[in-house]
Amino acid sequence: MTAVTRRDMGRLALGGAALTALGTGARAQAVTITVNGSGGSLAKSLERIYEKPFTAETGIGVRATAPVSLAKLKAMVDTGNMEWDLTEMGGADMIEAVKNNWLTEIDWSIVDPDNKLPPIARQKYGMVTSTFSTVIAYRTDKFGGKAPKSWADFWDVKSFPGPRALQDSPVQNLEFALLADGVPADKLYPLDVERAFKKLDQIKRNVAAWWTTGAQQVQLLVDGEAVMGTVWNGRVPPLKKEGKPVDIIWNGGALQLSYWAVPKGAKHPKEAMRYMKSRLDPDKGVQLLQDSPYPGFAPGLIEKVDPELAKILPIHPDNVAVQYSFNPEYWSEHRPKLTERWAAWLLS
Amino acid sequence: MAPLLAAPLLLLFAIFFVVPFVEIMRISFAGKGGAWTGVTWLMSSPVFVLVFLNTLKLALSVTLICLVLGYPAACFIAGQPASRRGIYLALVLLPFWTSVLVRTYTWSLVLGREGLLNASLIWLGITSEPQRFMFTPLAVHLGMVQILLPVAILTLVGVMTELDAGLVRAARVLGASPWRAFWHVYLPMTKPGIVAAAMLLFILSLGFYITPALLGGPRHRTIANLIDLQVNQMNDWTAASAMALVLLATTIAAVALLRWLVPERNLYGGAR
Repeated sequence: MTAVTRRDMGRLALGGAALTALGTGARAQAVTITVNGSGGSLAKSLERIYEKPFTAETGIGVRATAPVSLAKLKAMVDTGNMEWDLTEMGGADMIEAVKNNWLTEIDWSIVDPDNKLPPIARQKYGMVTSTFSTVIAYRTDKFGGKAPKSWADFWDVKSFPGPRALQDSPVQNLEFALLADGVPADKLYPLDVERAFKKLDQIKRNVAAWWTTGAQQVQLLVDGEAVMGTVWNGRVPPLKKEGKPVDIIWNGGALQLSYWAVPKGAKHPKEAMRYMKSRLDPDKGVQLLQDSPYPGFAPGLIEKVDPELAKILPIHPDNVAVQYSFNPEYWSEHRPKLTERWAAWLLS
Repeated sequence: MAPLLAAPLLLLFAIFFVVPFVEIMRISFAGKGGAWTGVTWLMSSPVFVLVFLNTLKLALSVTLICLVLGYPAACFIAGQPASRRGIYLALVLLPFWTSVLVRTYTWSLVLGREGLLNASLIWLGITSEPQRFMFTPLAVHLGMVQILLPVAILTLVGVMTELDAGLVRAARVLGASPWRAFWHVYLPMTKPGIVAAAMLLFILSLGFYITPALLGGPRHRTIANLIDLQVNQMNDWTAASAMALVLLATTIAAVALLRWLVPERNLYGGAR
């Protein structure tokens, strides 16, 4: 018994030493960067299209994490324990992070040395990586062949009866209410908060569910809990492909930008920026669009996109014309106060 | 020897509870807006007060329902011969071991507008339009009760099997009706079990997060949901920490109250 144990111990020790040697060997060759994103099926596409080829080319490993969270970024900066080398970020979060000095300046000589990106995509602390839109989605089988066309129709429960779903957040819902009330898209900001809440009062009783995650948005529609609701535009095309009776309308959608940023204290900022550069390849960009209709500003990308696919992109000119531009500065400034009021309004 | 045995646990406790707790205290009392901002926010926020009261109400009603449903079931299981008791306990434990998230989602399949319940009601001709069950108090209660019922039953069975059944028999022999024997002998003997179960249920329901978030509407927001909102949407850790402290204080108060109702030696099955 003792002999066996001793031999096992020996084997264990040997194995351990070998593993350690392997580990340090691999680490000496290359670094692995941690890239934080939205996760889900998008993460699988990114791995196939960008991350694996990037590792093959540069020897830099990529470890993907999720989800996008400003709270987590704050915690990492506060504790000085930065796990991420690169993270995705929404517009208002970006402003908040810049204000709090949580990000590293982008070295554009690494990311975009030939200066090909349009200025909107090249910002001091971030690169615009994709565009997306919060739009109305509806069940095509619930209104007897009729289709809603605007936010006014969303509010019109007589012509389009059935429960609605909205996000549990004042962000964008106040805009949507004002659009429904007839405020022109270019006159939204600064928001007329009183008027927005008054309009929201009218629809509140018909809102069956207030979603908090992207998965919930479409679940509510597919399960029939809601016949109309807000979604991120990319969530619906896969459902349509499966034959689900859902569609979106672009009219009154909230066109937004999302960014890549390198957090302050990231362990491998240079490698992270090299990875950012790989995201500017237009051919890979086209591949990604097949899976996820959130185009960025990679030079030459739009010219390569199939015209049929282009129609379901938030930055297609026809779609841009009917959406409004979401104003993250406004929300960065007013979000805490309005979120508090929102929570109170929901309870009342 | 004894202190040494407790050392690993104490160390874990210090690292994973005491240190974060002190940090939470610090954040809630010295947030970015200066000292006492967390506390001031709580006092002035109508949202917090409403959500706090809602959470208390929800925890109380779920606790009561679980006790009312769990007590007879526990009586039944405790009254079975030991050989068969295992089977019944397994039936209670099976759902208990299933993930809370899975059980919560399953309720949404049952209660949805196109779910099992509505389909049955329409098929039976009881209603022609799908009724709204999701995002109502009914849904939240069903979900929470189903999740917590095993806790009630297991705690009560633990106490009931410890009881001296001879005492009830003695009461019957001496001429008490079954009801009288139950009311004057059995029920008082199980009181420590009821109190222990109530305490566990109440504390667990106070911190509920997933079930109200998925099955409830905005009116069923609990403190835990509000803490999540403060941290993840409003980036206000001061308020979140202050709320966490209030939740902790409420829990301690509940434990203290129950301790006072039933002295410690009578809790945790020490009924004899």
